[in-house]
Amino acid sequence: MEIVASILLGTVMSLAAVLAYIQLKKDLLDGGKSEE
Amino acid sequence: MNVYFIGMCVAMLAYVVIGLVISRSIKSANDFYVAGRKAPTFLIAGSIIASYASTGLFMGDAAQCYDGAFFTIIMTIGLQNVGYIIGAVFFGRYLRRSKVMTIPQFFGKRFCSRPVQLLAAITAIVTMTVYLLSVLQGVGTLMHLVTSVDYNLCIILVAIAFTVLTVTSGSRGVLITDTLMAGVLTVAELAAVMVIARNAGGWFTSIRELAADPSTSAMLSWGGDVVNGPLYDEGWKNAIWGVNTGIVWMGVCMVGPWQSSRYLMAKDEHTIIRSAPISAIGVFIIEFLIGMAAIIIHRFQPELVASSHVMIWAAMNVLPVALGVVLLVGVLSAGISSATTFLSLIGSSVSNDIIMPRLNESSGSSNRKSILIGRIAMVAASAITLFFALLNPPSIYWIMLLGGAIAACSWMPVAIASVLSKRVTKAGAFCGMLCGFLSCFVLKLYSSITNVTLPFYLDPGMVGIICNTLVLIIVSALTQVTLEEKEACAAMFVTPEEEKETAEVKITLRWSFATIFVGVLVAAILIILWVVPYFQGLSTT
Repeated sequence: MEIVASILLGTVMSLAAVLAYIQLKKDLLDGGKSEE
Repeated sequence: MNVYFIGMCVAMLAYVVIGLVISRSIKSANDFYVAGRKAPTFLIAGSIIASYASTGLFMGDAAQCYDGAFFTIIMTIGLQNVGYIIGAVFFGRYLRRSKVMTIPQFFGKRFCSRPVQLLAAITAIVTMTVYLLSVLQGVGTLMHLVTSVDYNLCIILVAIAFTVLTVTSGSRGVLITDTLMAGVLTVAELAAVMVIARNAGGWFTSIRELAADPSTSAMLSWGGDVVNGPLYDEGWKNAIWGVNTGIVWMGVCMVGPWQSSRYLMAKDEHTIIRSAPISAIGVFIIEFLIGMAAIIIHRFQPELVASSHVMIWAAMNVLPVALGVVLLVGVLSAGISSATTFLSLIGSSVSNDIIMPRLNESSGSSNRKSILIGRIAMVAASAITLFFALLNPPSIYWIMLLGGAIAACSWMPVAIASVLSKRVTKAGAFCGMLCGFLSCFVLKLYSSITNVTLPFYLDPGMVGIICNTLVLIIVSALTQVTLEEKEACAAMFVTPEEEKETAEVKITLRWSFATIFVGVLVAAILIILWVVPYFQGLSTT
């Protein structure tokens, strides 16, 4: 359980970072408009 | 008077002097409240870490770990740090872009609503005051224990130090001294943990032997100590409580006033994105090391009655005197850095959200008046907090948790919706914020007054977040987004020209990509420094 929890916590953090990276890439490389 | 007291007084004096020197560069309200919006990455990350690390961490979290809730704290910390990563991208840069002085002002501008701004300001002031109380009380207790100087005199000295620093130098001084204090507490903690572990027989040996000992083994397990521990009587309940608290504190790290307000001071949006991984890994490492050190202290002293004094006990009984002084100065710095941030935010909200919008002043006199009102509010807030701290209410840890929970459940759903949704309305935002705030506050008040322990699934913070979200959705569905709200929302998504510089964009994307490996690093730290030696210890029994 301890090892599963450690890996899960790391995975959640990395997934959040992937999500943030995708959104940022979209925003910064599409000329300034997001969500449109 | 002893060497610890002298060390603490010298540190406080140094911070005040630095604040006074910085105060000479304060020329405008922009300088005073948002440090001129020129702060680089290391100042933003340093201030976030210092504002987070308070006596709640060194006394509250350390006590929880010493008492057997290490895994619960790790779950909470792991999840909360996600808040830095997503908060910077999905909230922080829009906050910076709006060029406001306070987060309530951002809400008011986004929803074109003065009531939303006022309500956000009130919740911020309540949260900051509650948190300030816990910090002042914690630092006072620390100084009193270490020096035997009267508790009341200790908190008066501390209150004077952080009030003078904040009132004179404003956010610019707070930002710089915060970063200095983050450096002091990080160095002090790293050195102290290394010496504690070495004196206990080594990091890995200590964990192996604690795991092998039936009386301490449960403290390192996923369920925690369910017999003598501070939480529930079953491991899975403790784990769920940790997840709940982690989600609530994820909200604090995303949008909490003393965390995300640092982004208002960033020199650009790139700075915000780049500070996120530093804050996330910095806070995680500080928390992990303190938690584990608190458990290792069982090797020296397994029967501390006041577990919140565990790190203080270690500083005075395990560490060499010089390092003990440095550690205690680090803890004091953690407390003062949080206090200065809270106090500056209270002053900023009173001035920029409550009083200044009612006055119609020219720019020059507006600047002077805004700073004056902020300074008066800071002195008043400090005096009120000092009064309550003199009464010395119990349970620093739970007071701190209440402050954090109120911030998260009042603001998190509305903050996320303000960026991700175009359907949320000003009425929805107002009602959601109000219900989130009231449900959390009333539930916590009820459990405190009646002395009832709430079930593990009924965390006041989670209840507040759920109430906020439901009310936000329902009221927004029943009301219409006005034209001016649509325009305010659209304006928020237009990236300013100065943020599009190709070289900076490339560097920021590299930082963002590297952030993905923060999760890998966290898992590696937990497995190598906790799980492996723990299982090795278990296998010897």
